[in-house]
Amino acid sequence: MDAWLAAFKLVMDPTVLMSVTGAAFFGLFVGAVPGLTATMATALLVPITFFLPPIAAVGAIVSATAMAIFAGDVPGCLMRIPGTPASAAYVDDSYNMTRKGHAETALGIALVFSVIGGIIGTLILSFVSPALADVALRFSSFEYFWLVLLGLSCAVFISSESPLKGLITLFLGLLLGSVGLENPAAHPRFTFGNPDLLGGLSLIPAMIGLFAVSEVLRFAQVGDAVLSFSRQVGGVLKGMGGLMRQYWKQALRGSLLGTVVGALPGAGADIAAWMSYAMSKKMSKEPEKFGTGHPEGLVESGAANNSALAGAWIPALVFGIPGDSITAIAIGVLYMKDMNPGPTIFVNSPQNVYAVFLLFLLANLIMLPLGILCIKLASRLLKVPRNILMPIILLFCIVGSFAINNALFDIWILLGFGLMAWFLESRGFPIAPMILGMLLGTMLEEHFIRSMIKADGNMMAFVERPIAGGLALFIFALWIGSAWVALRKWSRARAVAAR
Amino acid sequence: MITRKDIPVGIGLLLIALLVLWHIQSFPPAPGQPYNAALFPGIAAVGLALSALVLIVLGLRANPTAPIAPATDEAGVPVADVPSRMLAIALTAGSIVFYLFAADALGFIVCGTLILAALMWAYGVRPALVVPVAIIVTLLIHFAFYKLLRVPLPWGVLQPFAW
Repeated sequence: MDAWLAAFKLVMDPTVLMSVTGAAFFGLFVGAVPGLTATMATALLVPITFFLPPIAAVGAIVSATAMAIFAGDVPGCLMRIPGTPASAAYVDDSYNMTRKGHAETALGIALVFSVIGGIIGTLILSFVSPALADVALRFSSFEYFWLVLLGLSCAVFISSESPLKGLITLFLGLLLGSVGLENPAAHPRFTFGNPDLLGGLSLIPAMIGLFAVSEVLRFAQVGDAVLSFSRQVGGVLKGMGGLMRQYWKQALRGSLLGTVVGALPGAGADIAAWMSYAMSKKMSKEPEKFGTGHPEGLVESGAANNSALAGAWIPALVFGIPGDSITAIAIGVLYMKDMNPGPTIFVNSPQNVYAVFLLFLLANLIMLPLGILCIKLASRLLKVPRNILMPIILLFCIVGSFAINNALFDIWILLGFGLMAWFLESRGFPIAPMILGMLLGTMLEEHFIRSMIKADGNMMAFVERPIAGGLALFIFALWIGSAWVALRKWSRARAVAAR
Repeated sequence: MITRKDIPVGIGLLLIALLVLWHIQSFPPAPGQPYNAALFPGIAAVGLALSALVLIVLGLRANPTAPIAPATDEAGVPVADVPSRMLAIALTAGSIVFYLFAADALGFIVCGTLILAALMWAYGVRPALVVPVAIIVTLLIHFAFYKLLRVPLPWGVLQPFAW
């Protein structure tokens, strides 16, 4: 209880409250402008959080991402253009509701059920992660080895429609993560005599490149679509009580599934939304209405994508394994702020962890008034000239990457990763596995070598402890199962082609 | 979806993997450890090489006549590789390179203004807006990072007027 009180005091600090509010406006803006994603919001925030105290920094990320995922629904609803990828799953439903003259209801659902999903996700996060941390305290390098491997496998199998392409970006990430001195043998790998590379490729500029510069490049490639919408929307909360009573089951199911998907490494809010939309349709009594402007799927997946944000923090806080690309960046910030994630943080400084829970709660609560404001301003927000915004973002990326280490070399990293992500994504390669590979590769190697030294080279030691053995079994089952599914899909496609 | 367009990408990735495998042969043994620093990059490179091979094979087997979905913009309109877009991409990437080489000599304010102006021009912003917005935004970013966050952005040619 003392720790909760201390956490409350940490969160009620004026700097923290100011960062949370400021980041909330930033998140609403980024989410509502198509082409800017929640991950990008996080990447752009990092250079600023670098100068904030730890809790304020985490608060800024939490609140910006929560707002961005909600705000992404606004242009989707009004113009059929999802503001973030996480809103894409149900854009047909929300847009068709608008066309039928129910824009208020559609936006109201997006807002209210985002808040509900976010709060349920936060509750699960607050109950599950301390319990999990208790178990994780007994983990040794063997269990961690398998956990990290599980994280990497999840990243490939669930994060993309082409697991092969996910696998390729994962291996690329592992190779990029192995640059530098930070390996058990302390051999300078792939540095080619360049002292700037000894510490490895700086993660923050790499991520700003992957998630922000790549988007600017895509904008340059795709060009500016004219976005216009002029209609006053008001009274979004009308009828929400009825919808809550009617669809409470869907909201709950969406939040649960969203939290679980969010907690799986590599899959975040967008995949949670797609999966729960599909789930909602499957379980619905009236699946034929989906896509025509039916609120059911909107309720379920709108709740799911916001709960996924909290879910992603479970493995991030307990094991230091990010649940999505947002927490991948957040973990980088935690390390920067000496709040190293892992089970020991729950014992040594529980107030910091509880503060994260409270920040989530706070962000979801202020989402209600700020969300209404955002909807009111929507017609003006959507007129933001993106051809002016994108150059500003690029300049901001340059300065932001430089600001972390005051090193010009980091801007090279920014450029390299930006070009790479833009090219790979345009060819259908997912980026999330690469980030996980870079982050987790070092961990995997360290736990492997440490385990091998402990076990004196005996491979059997990796499966002798019960939890380690169970994890290993699970991973092999996952691999074999996925390979089987892929093979069946392939042979079926061939059979169709032969006909 | 894997198409013929993936074949050159696969070949490039395979070459990268082979280069890595060749390079890590030179890593020295790690005393007191069962494996040296080459093990993990080695595994990753073998994995990359194998997946790249599968990608190439699947690309070769893909139906060559199957239409390849063109890139589309947000409204679903296909995007052609028109020269003005190519120029916009080149300028976007080029502006980062420009900053890398010119920042110390010209300074942040000059570089930032030039970059913003060039990109806004390339993205089709109204000409009357380009220069004033470029100057004002650069000064704002400079103020935020240099004054508030104390990031040592270079002054370059404006050094005599540093404030």
